[in-house]
Amino acid sequence: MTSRIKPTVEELKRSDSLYSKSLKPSPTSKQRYSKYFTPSFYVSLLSRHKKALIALFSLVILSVYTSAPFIPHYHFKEPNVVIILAANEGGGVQRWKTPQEWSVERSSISNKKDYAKRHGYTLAIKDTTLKRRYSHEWREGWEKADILKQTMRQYPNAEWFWWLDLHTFIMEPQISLEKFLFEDLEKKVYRTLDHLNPLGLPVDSSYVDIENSPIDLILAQDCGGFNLGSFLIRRSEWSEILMDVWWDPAMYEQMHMTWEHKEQDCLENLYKNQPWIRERVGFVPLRAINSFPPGACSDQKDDPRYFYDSKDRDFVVNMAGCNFGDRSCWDEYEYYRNLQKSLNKRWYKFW
Amino acid sequence: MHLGIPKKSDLKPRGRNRSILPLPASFRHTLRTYKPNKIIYIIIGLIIFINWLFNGYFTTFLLSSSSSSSSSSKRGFNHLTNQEALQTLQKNHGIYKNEIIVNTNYIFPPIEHAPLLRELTLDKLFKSKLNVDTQEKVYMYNEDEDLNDVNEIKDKSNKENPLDQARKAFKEHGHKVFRSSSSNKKSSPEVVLVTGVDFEQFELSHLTKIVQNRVDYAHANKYGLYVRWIQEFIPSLQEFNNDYKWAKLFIMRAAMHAFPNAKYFWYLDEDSLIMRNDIELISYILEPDSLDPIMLRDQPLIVPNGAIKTYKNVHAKDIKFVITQSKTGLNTDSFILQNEIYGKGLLEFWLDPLMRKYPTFVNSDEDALTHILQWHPVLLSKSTVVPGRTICSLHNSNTAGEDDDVLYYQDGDFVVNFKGCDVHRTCELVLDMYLKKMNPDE
Repeated sequence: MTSRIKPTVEELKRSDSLYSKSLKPSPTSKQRYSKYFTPSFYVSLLSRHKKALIALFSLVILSVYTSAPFIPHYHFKEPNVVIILAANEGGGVQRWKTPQEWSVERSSISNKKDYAKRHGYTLAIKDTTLKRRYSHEWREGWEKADILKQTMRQYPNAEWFWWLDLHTFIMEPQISLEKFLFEDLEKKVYRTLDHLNPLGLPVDSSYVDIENSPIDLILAQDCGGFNLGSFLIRRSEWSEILMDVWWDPAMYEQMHMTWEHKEQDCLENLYKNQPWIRERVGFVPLRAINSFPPGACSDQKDDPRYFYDSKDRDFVVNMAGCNFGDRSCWDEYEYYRNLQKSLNKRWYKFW
Repeated sequence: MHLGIPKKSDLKPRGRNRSILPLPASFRHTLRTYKPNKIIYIIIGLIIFINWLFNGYFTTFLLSSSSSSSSSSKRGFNHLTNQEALQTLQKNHGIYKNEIIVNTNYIFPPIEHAPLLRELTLDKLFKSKLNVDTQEKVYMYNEDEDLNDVNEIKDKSNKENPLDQARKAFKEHGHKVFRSSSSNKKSSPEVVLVTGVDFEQFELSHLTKIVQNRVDYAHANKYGLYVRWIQEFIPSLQEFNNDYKWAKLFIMRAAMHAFPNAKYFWYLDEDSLIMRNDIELISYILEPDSLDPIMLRDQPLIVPNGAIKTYKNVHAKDIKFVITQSKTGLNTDSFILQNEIYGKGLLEFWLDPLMRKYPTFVNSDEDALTHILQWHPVLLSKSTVVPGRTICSLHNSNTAGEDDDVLYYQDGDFVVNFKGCDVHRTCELVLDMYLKKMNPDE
């Protein structure tokens, strides 16, 4: 009979689950979980652990937003893309900047800032004022290579660097570069000049091994050839050498009278003559990363390949050359800024 | 009951369920008693899940619906690209598009054709036209000749006529590339020895000795061999009236194309002789362990006191370009280049038309190289200067002259270079002298 009085461990366990010690009926499964669905449960949970909550909260804040020592730092996304914005173009001591120019620069910077913030990219604003070390040798333009080199050193973990001139405006900020471009990059870019060749460069060249080469430079061509107003370059051994050889005094000495567009013409020349450069350049349509407003490329103003189309919702517009002729940078900039605002308006936003 | 100042504890709410939120009591009450149906949670969860399934991100349905409606169909730029043009990739080819695939490691022209080629002259070997401005004859590369079934160019040459045969072989030679018969990468030689030979300058007997020397060495070490006639590159050299010395770069580039899986390319000029077949290049100089101790660091590129020097802190494993110096500067008669991006970049930049065209470089590929390494630190950091006697001991023509045990050949050295022998036309004599040293019995 003793065995009846002293229940076995198994029986005890079973009875524990069936009866609580306070002799209340055991909660049914419905009752057991229903408390998790009431807000009051959480309110009381939070109020009970206030100190722990504050500690946890400050730890998270420190971890995410600061680089304080002895705390594990979690980064949501390693910034893989750096946007380089060339500000203050041609500025410097030679002339005053007009209020309109200030305004354009401000909107341009805030446009890229918002875009970079939205997708977790880094924005690097680089000053391109006239500097003596360049004007002395008459090699403004090639500072692009120096800025790229410097930015690559500054952000050692980023892979892609997107150069944008000041007069560009991102019209579709919700587009992420990864989705738009980097995913399946091989399937999206042209590897030869067959599709568009305004410079008449030889399409086929010896020793070019495209199949075994990655794409390290993404460029667009406008009506006059390569356009360096908006291009993407990947950190690689290749780009390291390109940055190094882009400007060469022997080449420059021979060509500085002919190379009207400086570093752009030089790159075209390198592309034309050197297979190792050619095999890693990929071309995208101009309107993919660098649409023009109606004023640019005036010789071919009916060609739909170059000009911004609001129906197609082109990604970026570049008001290249807006300070020449009867065009006005500020007017154009305001126009596209307002257009972007109205195109991307949400129904639930009233302002 | 007293009406004094209330104590702190009197003002605190009592009970365990104190709220941290300063909300009106009624609101707190609603929160506490509100028990929504589970279904609502499930529906919200489901919406988020479906939205994630179709749109790929975890935003709520309302937020994403407005933005995706405008751009989901055009998230890429497919509508702007010509899909057909996207598919076109250029085939990798050399100067000629049609290539003759050979399986042998030794690609060299039939040297016995040298006198015939000289007899034919350049006029018969190339198509030419007259430049109206300068009244000079301009040679052009032959058109891409189609290949026939037996892997030869279609040429209506007479099989009996030796001159025709020589011309055909001359044309055909540039089309030859090595592709290993198996897909195995290892069947390609690791090192390729490259030489350019000049049938206008040297007699057949002399050329035979040079090429035989290269074949012997390549065979002893299982290397590849790539020999071209310098004259094959006349159309390129003529563009800017370049000295024949520039041909070595064109030959080197062609060699890299002909042996795409080889790792090292050693250019050795025809004015040189390999004295020891038992020296294996990789363990001798190319492995980081063997290269590291002999690299000349902080060495001026222009001797003796140029301003630009090689880097002090470079590791042998980063070196892609190995060269020696003569008394005056870099000596391009013998150099080793790796077949990868830095090697190719350096070689092709060196070969750029604007380099070949620059007045002071027209006659000197060495000056062009010195210029490139002086102005481009990235390329310089991948290059190294090694003592001359490692791969390019110089022949000391001044027999009674000073003793310089850094530059000049001594018995047992790997390679002898008789740079400048063409000035006094002593190349044949010097070569024979060294051949005799090599094989005293003959």
